[in-house]
Amino acid sequence: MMTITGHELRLNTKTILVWASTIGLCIFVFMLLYPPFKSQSADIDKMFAGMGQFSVAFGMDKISIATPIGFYGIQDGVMLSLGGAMFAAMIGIGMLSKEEGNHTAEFLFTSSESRGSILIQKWLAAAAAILIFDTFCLACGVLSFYAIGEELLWKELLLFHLAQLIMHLEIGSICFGISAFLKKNNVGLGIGIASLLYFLNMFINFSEKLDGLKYITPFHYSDAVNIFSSVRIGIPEIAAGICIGAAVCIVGSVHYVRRDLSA
Amino acid sequence: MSMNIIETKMLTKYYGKARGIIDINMNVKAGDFYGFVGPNGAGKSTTIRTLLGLINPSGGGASVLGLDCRKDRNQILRRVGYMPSESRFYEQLRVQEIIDLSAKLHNKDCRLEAERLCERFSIDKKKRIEELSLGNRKKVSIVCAMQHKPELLILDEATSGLDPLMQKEFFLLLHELQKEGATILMSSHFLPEIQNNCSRVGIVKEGRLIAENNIEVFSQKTIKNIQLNGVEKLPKISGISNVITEDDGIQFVFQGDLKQLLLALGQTDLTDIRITEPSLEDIILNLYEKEESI
Repeated sequence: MMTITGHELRLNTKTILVWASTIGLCIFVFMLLYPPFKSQSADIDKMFAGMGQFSVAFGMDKISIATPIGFYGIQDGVMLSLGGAMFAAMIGIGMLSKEEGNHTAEFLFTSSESRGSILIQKWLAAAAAILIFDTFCLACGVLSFYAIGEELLWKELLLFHLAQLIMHLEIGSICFGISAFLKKNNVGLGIGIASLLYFLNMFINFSEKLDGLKYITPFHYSDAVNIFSSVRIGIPEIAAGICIGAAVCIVGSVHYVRRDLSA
Repeated sequence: MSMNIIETKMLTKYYGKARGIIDINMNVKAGDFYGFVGPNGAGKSTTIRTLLGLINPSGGGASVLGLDCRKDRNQILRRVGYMPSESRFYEQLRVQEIIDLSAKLHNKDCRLEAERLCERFSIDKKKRIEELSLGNRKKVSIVCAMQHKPELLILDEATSGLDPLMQKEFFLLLHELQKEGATILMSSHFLPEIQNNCSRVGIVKEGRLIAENNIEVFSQKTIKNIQLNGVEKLPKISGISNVITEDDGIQFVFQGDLKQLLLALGQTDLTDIRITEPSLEDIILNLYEKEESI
């Protein structure tokens, strides 16, 4: 049981370690910059307020970068959102396609595990990798607040990291589903999908007409600015995101179970 | 009469419009050591991959171990050992890890058998897959295919990359397994290994099975390569094909009464004659030209 999940986690150990430690360390180090920043916060807040659309794009019109949680949301929020999305996309997009790309499909798919079981175990491996990544980043975030001696707003922080985890799982699942149609690993496509969804969220901030996009891009419901300013996460947007992730994943899996596998 | 372990009926596979295999009717009986012969692109691997459920047939059907190769794929794979032609594994893993993974995927404790096979084939279990030569990868593939003691072995170009000593050991092992009751299907380009080991042979050409019979029947019909010196014109006698005229003689393939040929050659200015066993290519070319049913 779960042989393939364990096997996949083992194969991805280095990737998980490198990404989690890089993003986690960045989160920690960025927050260490807050104390010197704090002394000039009033001026900087004024400066960002005068930057018009740029401030809107990054949500600096909604939360103050001068507060610790605001600083965390704007500086570390972007890092975790984009870095985590790219990590999730990379893990997801290669999960199935690499077997044919590396010519290991014959070894794996002539074992007595059914294709359905292999798919489920591989998805679980991707989800576990994302969970490890997000847990490590949360730990780095919490430690960073203790390191700078600022008050930690647990509810805001946990809601933000929960939304991030769901967003990473959604992007991982979308890429996993797309992976079922590919015959070799295409990291570029995965990163492209993550970047596209990120920019869609920026467009929402520019125009109210594009508000409907918030049900398509998971970067909206996981946006630190939205979560920290309202202290809630958008349940309808998350539900839509879970449906999109599940739908792409299921369509891909159904296709994969039926299709011919190359050597 | 022994049961068919593999039975295909009008098995057909097209890749889009490209031909894979057409109307293959093949029977491998329990205990057979079946040689599946044909040039590259003839359809050997397509047939094997269809039997293993890696690809879906476009038409016809196949049963393996009495089970439908599409519906009962997992049940079949539990009882089959497969050696692919490429023998590719996860590069970053060590040999021991691959062997363990293969056993776990078959849900069996195969440690004793794996140990025995590793010793027999002198496999260094500590090496990483990426450090292995093709021959050593093949040896790992042998362990993965056989450690769970399958009832049916499907071997696709199994000996390519193995050195002669290892090939000898490999065939010894296959004959031992056959004696213990295993059935073997082996695809190959190399006729001597088919002639020396197989009890039954199927020849595939352009996706169609053009001949299938016991090895003895093929041996009786075996053709010869003949090279003559001092002869400018061949006597008119049946069974001569693939004639190549060279500066100092003539080379051709002969399938017929050798005594009659020698008598006819006695009437010519023959200075030297060389009769050799034909290569697989010669036999296949001969069969392909005639496309007779053997």
